[in-house]
Parts: sequence; structure tokens; C-alpha cells
Amino acid sequence: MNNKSLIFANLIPDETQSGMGAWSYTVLLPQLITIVITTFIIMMLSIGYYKRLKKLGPTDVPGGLVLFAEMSIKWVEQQVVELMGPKYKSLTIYVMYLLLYIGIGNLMSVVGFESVATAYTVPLSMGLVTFIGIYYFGIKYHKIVFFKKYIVNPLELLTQFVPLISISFRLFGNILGGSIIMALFSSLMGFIWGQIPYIGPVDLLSGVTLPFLSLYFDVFDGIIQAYIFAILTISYWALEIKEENNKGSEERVVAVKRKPLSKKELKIAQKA
Amino acid sequence: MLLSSTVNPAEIINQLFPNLWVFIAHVIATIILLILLSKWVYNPFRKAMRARRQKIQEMITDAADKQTKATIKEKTALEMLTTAKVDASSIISEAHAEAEAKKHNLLDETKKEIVHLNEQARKELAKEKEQYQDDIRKAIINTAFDAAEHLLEKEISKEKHQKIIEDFIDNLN
Repeated sequence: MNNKSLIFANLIPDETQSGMGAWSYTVLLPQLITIVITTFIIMMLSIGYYKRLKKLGPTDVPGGLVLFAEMSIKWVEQQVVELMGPKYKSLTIYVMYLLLYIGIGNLMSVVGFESVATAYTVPLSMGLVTFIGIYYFGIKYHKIVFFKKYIVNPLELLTQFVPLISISFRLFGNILGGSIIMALFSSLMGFIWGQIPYIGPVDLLSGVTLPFLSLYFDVFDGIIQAYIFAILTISYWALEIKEENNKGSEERVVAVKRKPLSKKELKIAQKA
Repeated sequence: MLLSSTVNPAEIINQLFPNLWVFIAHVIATIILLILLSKWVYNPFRKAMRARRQKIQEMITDAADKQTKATIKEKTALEMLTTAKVDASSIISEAHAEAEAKKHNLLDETKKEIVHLNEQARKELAKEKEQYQDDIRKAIINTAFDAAEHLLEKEISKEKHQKIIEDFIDNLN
């Protein structure tokens, strides 16, 4: 078997396999379709916004999609500026991407598609960007001091992976957990409905109860997880910047204290 | 909602561990979306915001300019009004003073005229009186002459005659 055939092998999961034997990195997962549809939806929304915005003049009052989009972008921008400072305003694009991609990707489960976050590859990839970002800002602002903590306390080497695991598993676990609860609840409702004799094959019990659970696990939880992921990402990055900024401000305070008083100031102080 | 296949352990294992196709799709989607959000959403949004801010700033500046102009005009109008009021007051007082002066002049002139007329009348009266007295005297003299001529029927000298008449007239007075 050559390399090419290695990649394209196991496109369908082998149900006879169990444990790690079932894993194949080339299996076609249903999340692939969700990724494509999510990208398409965001594209359509972006084009819709862009076309409507083009028609608006500077004095025209925005409405509908444009108004909603502008309010949302402004809110995201405000979050980024508050956490990271105005210098990193351009990171709004990445936060917008995270919110839209995870949010819409999770909402796809409402219409029967798999959430994008239920394939751990997706949260892990996004978590890696966050993780690399922490290093980028850490090295940028702390320089070589950033690595000092690993020498002082080698246990830091282990804890540094906490943000990556925490941020990616939080998203994956919440969405997958919600999906499993939904699946289990659906089975339970089906089982209860099956106990009622002469009622027919239509599971009305699931039809009545599951929408409310779906509202929480698919809609609410899906959007909340997108928000948490985005905010955590910029918070981790902001932490590296803030530490540097705080240190700088402390130094400035010390510098102000050390500044000697002029003769005139001394006279005024003595008189006072 | 996760489909029932998720409950299958093999499916969960494949979802939990890295998947090449999902990774490739995710990376491509990320690149596309980041470019798209930058080109069609965020940059146009900022451009529109800048344009709006600029327009609002222009409107504010324009309004401030207009307000300044209006204030200046109002100030000028007030000044003009004050000046006009002062001028009007001055004109009125001047006219009043002029009228008063004219009135006084007229009164003075009238008084002078009256005095003059009175004086003239008195003079004329005196003159006429004198004239009448003179006429009367002459008439008396003539009458006296005639009477004397008739009564005395004798010649008297002119000087004597004159003396007699004057005495007579003096006695009349």
C-alpha cells in the first residue's frame, strides 16, 4: 500500500473495531459537512452585510441585518479593546470568526447536522492557535523572562498545557456531553413511549420534551460555549500583555516617587 | 443534536482523536472565513464607521460654525439695536431741545414784536397827540387871531400877539 492509499484508506468507520483499533485519522466524519455548511452560511451573511452596507450612505440609518451586524461587531470590538487594549483592535476579526464559526457550527445540530465542536480536531486546532498566541504575546512582552518560570519551577512545564487542554476540552466536552444527553434522553423517551400499548410508532413524548432540551443544549449551550471560547482566548492573551503593562506602571510610579523636588516646590512644601 | 451513531464507541473514538479531513477542512474554512470577515465585514464596517464619524464631525463643525455666525449676527443686531435706540433717543432729545429753543425764540421774538408794536403804537399815539395838539393849537391860534382882531380891532404887534396866544394856550392846559 503506497502513501496515497494510506491517506484514503478507512473512509468509513469500521464498526467491528473497538477501542483504539477503531481510530483512523482518515475516516470521513459527518462534521466535514457541517464545516462546509457553516462556512457557506457565514459567507452568505458576510456578502449580505457587505452588499447592504455598500448601499448605505454616511447619513443613512442602518436597519435589519446591517444594524444587527454593526451592533455585534461593535460589541466584539469593545470586548477586545477592553481586554487587550486598542492596539489589538484588529484581533476583532479573529474573535468574530470564533464566535460565528463555533456559534453557527453548534447551531447546525438543531437541524440535524453534527456540531463542528463534536470533532475534537476542531476545538484542538482552535485551542492550538490560542496556545501559540499565549507564547507569542509572552515572548513579545516578557522576552527571555517568559522562560524564567520554567527554570525556577520545572512543574510549570506541565501546567503550561492547561490552557490548551482546558479551552479545547471545555468546548468539546460541553457540546458532546449535550449531544449524548440528548441522545440518551431521546432513547429514554422512546423506551417510555414503547411501554404504552396500542399507541402506534410515532414517538410523541420525544416530540414534546426534546425541543426544550434542544433549546438548552443546542441553542443556548452552543452560543454560550462560542462566547466562552472567544473570551477565554483573548483573556489568555491579554494576561500576558497586562502583566507586562502592570509591571511598567509600577516602575513609572517608583520613578515618580524618586523624582527630587525643586527648590520652589520645597519652599511651598515647607510653608504648607 | 448528535445522531444516534455517536453512541457507537468507534464513532466517539474517531471524533475524539485527530482527523485529517476535518483538520484540512477546518484550516481551509478558517483561512477563507478570516479573509472574508476581514474584506467584507470588518474593514467595510470600520470604513463605514469612519465615514459616519467624519460626516457627524462635519455636521457638528457646520452646526458650530452656524451657531457662531448666528451668535455674531445676534450680537451685531443687538449692537445695532442699542445704537439705533441711542440714536433715536439722541434724535428725540435733540429735536426736543431744538423745538424748545425754537419755541423760546418764537416767544422772545413775539414778545419783542409786541413790545416793539406797543412802543410804535405809543410813539404814534404820542405823535398823533402832538399832531392833534399842534393842530388844535394852530386852530386856537387862528381862532384867537380872528377873535382878537374882531374883539380888539386894533393893531397889535406880532410879538405881542404871539405872547397873548401862548398865554391863552397855557391857560387852556
